[in-house]
Amino acid sequence: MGEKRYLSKLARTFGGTEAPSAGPLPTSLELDTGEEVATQFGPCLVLLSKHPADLSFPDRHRATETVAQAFSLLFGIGPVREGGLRDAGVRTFADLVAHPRYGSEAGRWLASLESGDVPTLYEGVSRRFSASHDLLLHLLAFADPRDLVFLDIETLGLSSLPAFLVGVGHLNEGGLDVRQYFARTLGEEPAVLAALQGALPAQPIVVSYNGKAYDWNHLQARCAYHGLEALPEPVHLDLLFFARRRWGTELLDCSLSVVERAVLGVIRELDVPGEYVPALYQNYLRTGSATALLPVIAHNREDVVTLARLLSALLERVTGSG
Amino acid sequence: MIASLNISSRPGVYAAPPADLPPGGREWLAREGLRLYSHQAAAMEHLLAGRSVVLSTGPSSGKTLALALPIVSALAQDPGATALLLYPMKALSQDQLGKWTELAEALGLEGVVGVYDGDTPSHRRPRLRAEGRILLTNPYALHQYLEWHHRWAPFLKGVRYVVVDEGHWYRGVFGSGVALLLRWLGRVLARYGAEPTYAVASATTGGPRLLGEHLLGRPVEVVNRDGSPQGARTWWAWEPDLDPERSPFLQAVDLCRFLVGAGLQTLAFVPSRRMAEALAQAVKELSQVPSPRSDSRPATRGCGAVASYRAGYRPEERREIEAGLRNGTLRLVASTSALELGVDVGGLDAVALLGYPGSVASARQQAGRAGRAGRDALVVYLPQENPLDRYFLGRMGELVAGEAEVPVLNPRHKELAVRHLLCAAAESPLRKDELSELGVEEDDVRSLERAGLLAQAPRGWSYAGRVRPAEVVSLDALTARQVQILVAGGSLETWDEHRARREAYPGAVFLHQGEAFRVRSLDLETGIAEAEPATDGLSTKVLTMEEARIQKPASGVVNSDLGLGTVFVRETISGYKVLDRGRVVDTRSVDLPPIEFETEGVWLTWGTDSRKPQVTSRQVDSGLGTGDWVSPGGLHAAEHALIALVPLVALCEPGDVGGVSSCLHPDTGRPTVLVYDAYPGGIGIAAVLRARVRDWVARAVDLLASCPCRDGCPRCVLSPRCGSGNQPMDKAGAHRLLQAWLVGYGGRGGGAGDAPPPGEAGPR
Ligand SMILES: [Zn+2]
Ligand SMILES: [Zn+2]
Repeated sequence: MGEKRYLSKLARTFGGTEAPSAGPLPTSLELDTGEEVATQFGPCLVLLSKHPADLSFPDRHRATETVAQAFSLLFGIGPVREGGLRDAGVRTFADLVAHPRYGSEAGRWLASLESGDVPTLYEGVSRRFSASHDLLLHLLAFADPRDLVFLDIETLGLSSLPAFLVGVGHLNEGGLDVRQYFARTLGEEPAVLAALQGALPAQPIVVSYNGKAYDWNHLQARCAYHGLEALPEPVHLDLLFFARRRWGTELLDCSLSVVERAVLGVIRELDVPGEYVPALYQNYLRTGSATALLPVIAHNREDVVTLARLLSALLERVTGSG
Repeated sequence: MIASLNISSRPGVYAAPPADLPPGGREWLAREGLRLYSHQAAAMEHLLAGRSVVLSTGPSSGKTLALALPIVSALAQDPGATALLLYPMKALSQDQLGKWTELAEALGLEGVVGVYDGDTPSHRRPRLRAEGRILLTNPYALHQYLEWHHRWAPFLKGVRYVVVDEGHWYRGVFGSGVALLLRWLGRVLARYGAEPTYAVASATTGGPRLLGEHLLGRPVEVVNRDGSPQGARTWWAWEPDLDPERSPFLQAVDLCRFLVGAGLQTLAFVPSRRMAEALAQAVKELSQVPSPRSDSRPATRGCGAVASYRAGYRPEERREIEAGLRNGTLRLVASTSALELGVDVGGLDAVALLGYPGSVASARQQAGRAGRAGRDALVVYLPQENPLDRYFLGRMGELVAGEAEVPVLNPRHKELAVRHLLCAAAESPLRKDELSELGVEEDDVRSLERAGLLAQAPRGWSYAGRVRPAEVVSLDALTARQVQILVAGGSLETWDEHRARREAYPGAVFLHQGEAFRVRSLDLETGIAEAEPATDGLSTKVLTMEEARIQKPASGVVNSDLGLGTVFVRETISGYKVLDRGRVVDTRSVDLPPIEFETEGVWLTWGTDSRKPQVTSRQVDSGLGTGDWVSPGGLHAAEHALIALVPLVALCEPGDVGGVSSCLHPDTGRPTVLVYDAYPGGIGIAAVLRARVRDWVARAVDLLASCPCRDGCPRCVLSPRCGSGNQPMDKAGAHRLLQAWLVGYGGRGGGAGDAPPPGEAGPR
C-alpha cells in the first residue's frame, strides 16, 4: 500500500484533516478583527467584540434576607421543624444565633452573608439544593460583576479532543466584552488555554450552558493534557439547569437555540449546527481559508452573548422586576 | 494407550527470605509457618532491590506469593506507594483479588485493594482512584483509562510496582499491543514522577528474558529455576489408531468415562468451546443410562457431576463450577484453555489433554492442574488428527520436559507502533526524544502531521484527530476496521477485516458456538456481513491462490539456501467448495478483491542442476535422486510440513502463517518454499523461524519420517487450510528435499548451532 493511501486511511480512521494547509496563518484581517496575543506557550489569536448587556443584580439586602430565611440550609432542619420554628416566632437565622443546636451554623451563614463570601455561600447552598435553585441566583447579589465569566467553547468532539475556540464574556461598564481565543493551528491550543487562564479572575463565577458536564471539564482535561496548571475551582451557574426548571415543561427541548428563541425572541440567521463545527474547523485547517470558519466564530460569540441575556432574564424573576 | 512416562516426585528447594524483606513480611511468614521456595526468594530479592524481573515457573509454584509478599510489605512501609496489577482477563482479576486483599489485611496495609475495570460500578470508581493502594485491572481497561490520567493522579504518583501476570499469554498481535501499552504506561507514570519496578509472572516458557524485554522494553532479571516440590506424575499417550472405527471425539468420550469411572476427578482440556460443551453433554447422556458397572458408584453419576467450562460464561456460573471442582462434587469438567490460567480449582486426580493445546507451555500448564497434595496424578494425552498433535504422540518426553517455544511478539511492528503512538499522543504531547524508544522515527511523526493527526505545539506533538484513539486502536487486532456479522439484524460476532475477507465471503459457512451460519453478503466498505442459520449440514472450504514476492531480503543474499526479509503477499480467493459430510458436492466462484499486504517471510531454496552451490553432488547422491528430485508435490508437501510445525518453534497458532512453494520462484530463481507471517507487517514469527531454522526443519523431517502413512495424511502433510485442496502432494519428495536442505545448510554452517533468537543479546 502506498504511503499516501496508508496515511489517508489512517486519517479517515482517526478523523484527521488528511492534508493540512502548509500556507501562512490567516491574518486577523481575514477573521474580521482580532490580534495576536503572546503566552508562555506561544501566540494565539484573540478576537474582541463589545456588546450591550443589561443585567440587574439582586439587591444585597434582600438577598441576605432570602438566604437567611431558608431554614432548610441548616443541617437537621426539615419542613416539620421549620414550621415549628416559624410558629415559635423565628423569622431568620439572626433569630437563631442563640439556639443551642442551630446557633453556630446560623452564625456562620450570617458571617458569610455579611462578608459576601460567594464561594462559601455557593457551596453551602449547593450542598442542600439542586443546581437550578433560585437561591443560587440570589447569591449574585454578593458577587463582584467583574468575576462573572460567560463561557462557551468549540472543540473537535466530545471527551478529550482538542478545543480550538474559547469564548469568554466579561461585564465591563454596563456592557459585555467578549474575547474569543482562537487556535490558528491545533498547535496553538496550549496558547489558547494559557490565554484563558490569564483572563480568568482568581475566583471565577462561571456562567455556561451545559458547561458543568462539558465545557469546564473539557478545559480542565485539556490543561492537564498540555501540562498547564489546573483551572481554579469555580462557582458555576449552569443555565441549562435553570432553563430546564423554568421552561422545560413548555418547550420541545432545552437546547440553547430553542430556549433563546422562546425566551429571548432571538432567531439566528445562518446558524451553524453544533455537529458541523469540527468538520468546518478541519476544513479550515485543510484549506487555510478562514472564510468558512467565520460562521463558527460568530456562533460561539452569539452563544456567549446569549448566556448574558439569559442570565438577565433569569435574574429578572429573582429581583422581582419581571 | 501406547506410551507411559513416569515422572518421579521432586522435593522442594527452599531458601531463607531475602534480607531486604521488611519485618512485616518476615513476621507474616513466621506466623503462617511458611518457608519460601528458592525461586520465590530470588524473585523477592530482585523486586525489593528495584530490579525488574520475569518469574517463569510451573503451575502451583507460588508465583503470586513471590510477588505479593514483597510488594505488599513494601507498600505497608511506604504510605504513598501503590501497585498496579494486570491480568489478561477480568475473571482472573476477580479471582486474584482475594489473595491480595488477604495479604494486605494481614500486613496492615492501609487504603483500598480493589479491581478497577469495565465491571466496576461508577459510584465506586472515584474512591478507588483516590484511595487505591493496589489496583487490579486488565490491559483492555487500562488502554481506555490512560487518556484520563489526570483523574488518576493520586494513584499514578505512587506507583512503585507494576505486575504483569500470565506473561506467556501476551503474544502475537495482542502481546505486541500490550507491550506498546506498557511503554505508554511507563511514559505516563514518568510524567507523575513514578519509576516503578516491573514483575512479569509467566508459565514455563522458552526465552523468558526475550519475553520480558519485549513486553517491558527494559532489561529484566530472569528467575526460572522452579524450587517447588512436585508430586509424582504419570503421563499416558492414548493412540487413537488402536480403535480406528471410533472417531476421535468418541474416543475422547470413552477416555473421560473411563477416568471418571475409575473414581478419578478429571479435568479435560479440549480445543474448542463447541467441543467442551459437546463432550460434557455426551458423557452426561451416556452416564444416565445405567450400565452394569456403574452400580457401585451411583453418587458420582448424576447430571450434576459433569460440566463444561469456557470463557463467556456468567461469573456466577464460573464460580459455581470452580467451587464444584474444589469441593469434589463435580467429577468431570470439560474446559477450553480458560481454566489453564490461575483460577483456583484445587488439584485434580487426572487431566486429559484431548488434543495438543497449541504450545508446550500450555500443555504443561494444563497438566499442572493435576496433582493434589501427597497424591500422584495422571495426565492422559489423546491427539487429534493433525500434524502437531501427532508429532507429540511418540514424543511424550518432549511434551513433558522439552524446550518450550519462544513467545512471538513484535512491539516494533510499524503499523502497530504508529497506531499506539496516536494513543500515547492523546495522553500527553509527544516529545522528540521519546520517539525512538516507542518504535517510531521522526519521519513517521511528520507523516502523521501531514495526515492531520498530530499538531506541533511548543512542548511536543499533540493529538489532532477527531476520534479518540483508544476507541479505534484495538489491543488484539491489527486493523481498526471491523466487520460485524449480522444475523436477523442482530450482531452475532465481530471480526477484523483480515479474518472477514478470508472467512466471511458470500456463501461461506462458519460455526458460532456449534451452530452453522451461512454468509449472505459481505460489504467491506460498511463493515457488515449478513448471515443466516444454515441447517442443511453443508460446509464450505475456501479456494485461494497465494503469491509471495520477495521485496527486501534482510539478511544474506537472495540466492542462498535460506533467506529472511520483507515479502509482498497477494491472496486471491477464487471460489469455494461446498462439502456434504466431507464430500465435495459443488464448486462455486466468488468475486472479491485480492488481499494484499506486506509482511515478513522466511524462505528455503534448493540449488538446481545448473546452479547448486550449496548441495554438492555427493550430497545429492546421498539424499536426493537425480533429475526429478525437485517436484511441485514435494515442495508443496514440504511447505505444509513446515507450516504445521511452526508453532513448535515460535509460540503462535498454525493459522498465523501462510506459505507458497514453487519450482522456480521468480525472485530466487530456484525451487523455493516460502513461509510468511500472515499478519500484515509481521508480528515477529519469521525472525524466530530464521533463528531456529535447523530445529524447525529437523522436526519437519522427523514428522515425515515417523508418520506411518504412505502418501500423506492429515497428521503429516494434508492441511485443512490448504487453498489448493492439498494438490499436488508428494510426501516422500518432501522428505528428500528437507533432508537435503538440512545437509546443505549443516555443511555450509560447519555444524554450528542455530543463531540466537533475535534480540536475545538485547532488545533490537
Ligand atoms: Zn501421514
Ligand atoms: Zn497447500
